[in-house]
Amino acid sequence: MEITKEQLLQVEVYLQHKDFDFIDLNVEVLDHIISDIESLLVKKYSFDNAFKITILKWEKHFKETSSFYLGFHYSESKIVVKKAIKMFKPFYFLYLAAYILPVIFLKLVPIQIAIAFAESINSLLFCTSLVMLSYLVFIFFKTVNSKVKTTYRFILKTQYLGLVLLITGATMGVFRENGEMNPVFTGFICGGFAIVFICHHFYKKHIEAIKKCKIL
Amino acid sequence: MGNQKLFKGSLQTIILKLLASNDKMYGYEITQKVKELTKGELQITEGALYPALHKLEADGLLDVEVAKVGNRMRKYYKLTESGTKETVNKLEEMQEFLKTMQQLVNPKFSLE
Repeated sequence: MEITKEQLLQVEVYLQHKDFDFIDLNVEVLDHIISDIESLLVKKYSFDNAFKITILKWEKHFKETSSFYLGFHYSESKIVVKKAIKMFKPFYFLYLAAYILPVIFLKLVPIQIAIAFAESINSLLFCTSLVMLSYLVFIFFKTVNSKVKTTYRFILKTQYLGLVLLITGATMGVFRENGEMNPVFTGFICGGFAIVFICHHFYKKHIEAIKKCKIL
Repeated sequence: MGNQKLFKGSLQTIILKLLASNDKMYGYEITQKVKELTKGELQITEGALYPALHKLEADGLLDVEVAKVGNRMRKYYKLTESGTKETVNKLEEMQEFLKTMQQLVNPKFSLE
């Protein structure tokens, strides 16, 4: 038994009311809710009752929640956060490794090079960081100004704070004045580069999701 | 439904296996099929299903097809070539796991 256009609109309004307008999830969540309702209509429930029962079942998926992996101060619907964690988890470990491994390595094996060479590398890293920073600022404005919500945009939102690492690492320099590599700031720079890579990856996914939606 | 936790780590394998035997399926259909096959013993929640499906899609194991059904759009999932290969691997892993569990839970005693 298929629901009418007016009833479909009622379900859409419910999703809007829940602020659930993530285009990468919306189509199938809407379809799933309607399928749930239709299965109850077959059992001779009225639309209103079927809708109420289905909403009760779905309510928990739309509750705001946050996650350790993405930061506790970033919250969204549970279903969005769950998807975000699944997508982000491998990158979380990449980010941690990029930050921690150089620190551990340089603590164990201190590296020192000629002062002039160290200064050149510091300058090169500073310039590279500036380019990456500009790219991140571009992604930031593109996604913040974009009216389209995707799970990837939510992940991106949780990453921008990591820019502090890149800025600090670049301004302080990887090498000390005596040509010795600073473990902490090297970790900052590597962590910062990892964040740029992560943001690039999820920005691409965000754009892909929008393109797919436009094809629909 | 106390054994739901036991199934948690097998969700991807379950999805892949269902898609291997059903060509293409949509989310609601998957939940109903699992419910039917397990006689209600296992119920996949929507909150677990969609993140798992999207992860499999992102890993290139599933392909997506969208079709208009009645007055709405429906997203179908089907296995890609690498998804088909991965299903075989995952099922083999699962068989091995079940064998090991069987040996642990119900060991055959011998006099040797």
